Amino acid sequence: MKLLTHNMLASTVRGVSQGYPLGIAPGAVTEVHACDFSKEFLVHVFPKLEWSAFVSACASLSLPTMPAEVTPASWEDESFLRQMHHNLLEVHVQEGTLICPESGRQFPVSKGIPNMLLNEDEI
Amino acid sequence: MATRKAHSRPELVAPADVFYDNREARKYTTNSHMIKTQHQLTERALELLALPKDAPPQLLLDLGCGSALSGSVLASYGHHWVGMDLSEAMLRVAVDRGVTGVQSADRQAPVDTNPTGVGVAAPVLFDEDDEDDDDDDEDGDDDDEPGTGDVMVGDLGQGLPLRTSLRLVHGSGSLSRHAGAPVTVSARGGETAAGGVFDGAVSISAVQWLCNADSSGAVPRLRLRRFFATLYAALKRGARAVLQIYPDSPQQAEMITSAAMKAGFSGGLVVDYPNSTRAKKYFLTLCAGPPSTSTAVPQGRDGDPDDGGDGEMVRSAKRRKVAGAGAGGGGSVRHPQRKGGADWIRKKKEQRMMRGYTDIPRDSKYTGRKRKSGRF
Repeated sequence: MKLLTHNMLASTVRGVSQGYPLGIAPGAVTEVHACDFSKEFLVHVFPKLEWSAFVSACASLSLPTMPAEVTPASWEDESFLRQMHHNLLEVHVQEGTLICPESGRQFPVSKGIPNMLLNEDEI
Repeated sequence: MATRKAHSRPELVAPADVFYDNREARKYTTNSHMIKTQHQLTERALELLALPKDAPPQLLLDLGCGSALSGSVLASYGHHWVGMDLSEAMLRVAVDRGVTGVQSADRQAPVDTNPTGVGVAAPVLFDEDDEDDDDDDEDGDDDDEPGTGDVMVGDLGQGLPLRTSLRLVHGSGSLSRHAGAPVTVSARGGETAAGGVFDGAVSISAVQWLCNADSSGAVPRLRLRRFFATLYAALKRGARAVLQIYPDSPQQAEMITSAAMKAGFSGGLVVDYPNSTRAKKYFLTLCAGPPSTSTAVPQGRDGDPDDGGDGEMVRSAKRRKVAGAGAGGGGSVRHPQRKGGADWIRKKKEQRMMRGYTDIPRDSKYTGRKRKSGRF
């Protein structure tokens, strides 16, 4: 699971109003796999991101921290772009647990695939 | 996901997570016929998706992605996609094929970038050619997955586990968002916090699975409702969703279409090759947002791949006209034509056609005309 995907995921357990952002339990196993860099895509996807959730996800995986504030100057900063690309698209959570912030429901991530299936009584 | 098999519909055999076990998943993904069909369907779905030209790579959803035969096509156009499927076995195959970019030990693909990607002095950093390279290998050869996908296990009928829009109340990051966004973004425009974030969604042969009650608790109508409501919320306003379906009956097509309309989508069913039993394909083409000229449903393909008759061209032309129909019942405000009259009959026929019925008598000069005598 990439952090881009994590940024979009929410818990939809019954009774939960937001279920976002999903916490990443400590001890998650990550792998890094290269992916083609495209500034265009980063610029396109940026307004879609919940930036603060991304920053805290990076923190919980002990990745190099992303700045809390993104300024227009950041877009000219090559190292910022590379770092964002790396954290967002190249880091894969292979094993771990996602935690719903409201209900505490845990969603396992196994072999890189998060399992968001709910039980019948949770729908 | 489930392409129709020679004798049976897999959705009638067992739920997707049971039917597509490890063995079936491998079988499916190595079957050249399946690969070809999925490839063609996805190409067509992308065409119907009508993504803006010369746009940056888009963020798409692939619903019922299975082993990502469809995702590979999306990736070959440079798009990033998030896939969801009920069958974990199928997703494992997808990951092993490298669609997420994770290279398994037995399948080492050449790494051409610095894995950390940090602090590399890269003269080609903003080189446009990077993109073109991606576009060139759209023949879908599996050896060269761009790895722009990601997958998760989920049941479409439970709703998509995605956040709907920008949900957080102004954290520091959110506040800086607008200040920080480069000018190009606002110029491209159209993306506000009102809708979801995905630029489009495709689904190949999956949605008809929602019509089956696999367990005692499953009510198809509710599952469809949850699916379309969450899909609507996940898409940005004006984005399209193209769902290729294999309805087992006109009623089923109607059930799916009306569930979509109730969720607020506009659009309708596009039927490719309506005269051919084999090549006939249904694409539910939806637009998240109010109907407008730009959201008119494109026409289905006709003329048949294998040179069939063209006697019924009229029907697909009709269907085209019906297309732009609005969301939420959009019934006419003006008083309808006299009940039982020729105009009324034509209108009813159009309505049924839009709902996916195929057993509609064709129009002729006799339509709605009174019989001469009382003999019949």
